Amino acid sequence: MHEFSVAKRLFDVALRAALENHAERVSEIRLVIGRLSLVNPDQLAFWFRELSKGTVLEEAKLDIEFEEAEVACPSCGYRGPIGLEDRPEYHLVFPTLRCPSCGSKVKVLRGRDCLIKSMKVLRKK
Amino acid sequence: MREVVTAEEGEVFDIELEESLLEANRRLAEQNRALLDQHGIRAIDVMGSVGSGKTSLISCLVERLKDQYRIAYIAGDLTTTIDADLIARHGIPVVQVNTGKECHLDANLVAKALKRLDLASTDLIFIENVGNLICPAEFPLGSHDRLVVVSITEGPYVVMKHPYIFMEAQVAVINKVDLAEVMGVDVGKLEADIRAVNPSLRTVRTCCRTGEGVEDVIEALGL
Repeated sequence: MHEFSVAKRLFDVALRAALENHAERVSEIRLVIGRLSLVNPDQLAFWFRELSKGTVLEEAKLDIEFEEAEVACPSCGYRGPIGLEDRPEYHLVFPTLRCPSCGSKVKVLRGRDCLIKSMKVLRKK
Repeated sequence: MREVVTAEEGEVFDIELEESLLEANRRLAEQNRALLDQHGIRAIDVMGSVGSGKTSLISCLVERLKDQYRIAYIAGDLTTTIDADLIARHGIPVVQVNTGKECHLDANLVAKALKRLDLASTDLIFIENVGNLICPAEFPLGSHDRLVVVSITEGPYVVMKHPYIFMEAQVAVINKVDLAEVMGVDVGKLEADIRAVNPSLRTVRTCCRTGEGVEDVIEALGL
């Protein structure tokens, strides 16, 4: 359900940018969703569609790119992809803050955020 | 010489935005933290499923700590005041935040709740999040610590299924340990799962109905 708050924020940011740029309509919005963020892209798109009805954002296509999670380990200096804990018995892989190299707790550098990168607008004639 | 290229009317423009959709909440959370720090208040965000025992745990903590600290309580819930009424029996200031249909508290709602409290005469605030193991993880409130409560009745896979909330927390509480045998849940396995997600998380076993383990929670929180 929190996708609604994120979609509302997306709608506000995109609409403000559209108005500032005298857009007749917005054709595309590029988003980046971090793998560790809990934003579900389908639910986000659904709420965005609902919110944008009857506005210049109505026809905007959401182009969503995912950002992989990157971590750094203060103990051993590891820097790279987040570790994954594989539990084949449950067909489950989940991310872990355990350092893939030494087992200490890592710090997340990237992959937590949800960004609006850019958008394509068609200007008024 | 400076060249300017002007696009034709009706042309498509690319607008760079690079704006975080989660940043607004984070900024408000930082403001909440600054306000709390200014008054020397420690705030603890208590997260967990509906029925995991968040209110029971807070009730146990308030009972043991109320002579030592001036405690206030912010209760997040969709519509009811059940939890707020329960904690108000301890005679401490209580603010109910009803989120309506939202599944989590956010920094803005907590900022509003903080305005209702007399911060000058408060040392410690327990913020009870909406019962949910998913969404609250994404929305920091400005608290100093985040504590997640899971209970035996949520079954043996609760940690593996919701790893993200354990990444955000500093203390995990496994509640209702008295039911482990009858539920067939291995508490040691739950603890191992928590360590697998976040090796620095302090994990405490409790039974809030009897008060077992509550002193260990106090110690884990450094109170």
